[in-house]
Amino acid sequence: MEQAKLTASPQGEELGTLGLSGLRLTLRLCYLNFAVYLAVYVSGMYINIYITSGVNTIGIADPTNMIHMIGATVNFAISFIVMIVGILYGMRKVALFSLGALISLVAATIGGLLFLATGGARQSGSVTLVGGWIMSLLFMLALFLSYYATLRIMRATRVLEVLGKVQ
Amino acid sequence: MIPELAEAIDEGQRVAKTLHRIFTFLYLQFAFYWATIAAGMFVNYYYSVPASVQADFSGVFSQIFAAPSLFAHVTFAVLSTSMSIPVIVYARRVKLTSVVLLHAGAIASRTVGFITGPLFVYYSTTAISNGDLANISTFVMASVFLMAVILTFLSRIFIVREDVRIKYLATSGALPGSSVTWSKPS
Repeated sequence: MEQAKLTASPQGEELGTLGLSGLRLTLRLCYLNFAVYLAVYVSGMYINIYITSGVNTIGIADPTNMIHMIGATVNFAISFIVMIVGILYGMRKVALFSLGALISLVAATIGGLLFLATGGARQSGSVTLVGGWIMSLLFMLALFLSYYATLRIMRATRVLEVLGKVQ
Repeated sequence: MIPELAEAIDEGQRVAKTLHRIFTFLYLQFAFYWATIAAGMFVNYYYSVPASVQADFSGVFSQIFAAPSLFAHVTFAVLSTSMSIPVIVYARRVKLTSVVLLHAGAIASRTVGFITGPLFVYYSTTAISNGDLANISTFVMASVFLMAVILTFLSRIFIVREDVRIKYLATSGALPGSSVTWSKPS
């Protein structure tokens, strides 16, 4: 029985102080973040393949670009909220992963703006391509970091659910 | 120690070990996904199908080895896809059907990508030169790639759930078949 007590205690788990209902709400927010990431990815792909693939350029006011940028802003806002939740409620890893995602999103936005400012087409030159590079790779990094933050929240939720059941 | 408890702990440790092996392959898979994207960006920005490429199987296939960026892209794509195979094998051992199905779905998605990728080269050759179909091929390739990423992401949710279940329920008597009773940790 002593062994059971030791194995079942949530040692090493980062449960935080948010509580089950708060964690569930944050988890829903994280899922919404992924839906928005998906929209940003698809709009980015559309721009890349159908608009900027040749000599055609894209400007900041282009409707597809606006959708792309609004999506990225929503990603930023949700990641920021998750980071604050992590800081305030004692979930260090959630806060760190979200902070990483935020830094990646900011740097990716700078890359995107560089892409737009230096011509906005694949054939606009090497600086434009570097902007595109930064944007694409850091967007994926932000996606992965947000994913790991989500997993931490999901694990904490699941542990609290299970402990609630067995107690 | 109570025999049933010892058995439950052994079983829990065995499953936990398998789950950690799955985690290792998932980490590798995500690293290869990222490498695929990085190499894909090189292809996207710096590679164009040479005018000399013939619109036949060998002509299109030989392009994989013609440009380092394309070779790296395909290699990482194959590696990331192949990481699903050990995950499926281990997930079957611990009876995680959802994980098996999700990774099988990811492999299926990537297979579509392995067809549309060469189709992009084919439609871009001078002989065919069909920009619309080349664009659609690229779009499909990128979409199924994302689909595979999402499916493998989802699989991890089930693995984490199982990990938590084993860690907190296996020795608590809450698992079906276990006669060991739970005692609230102090």
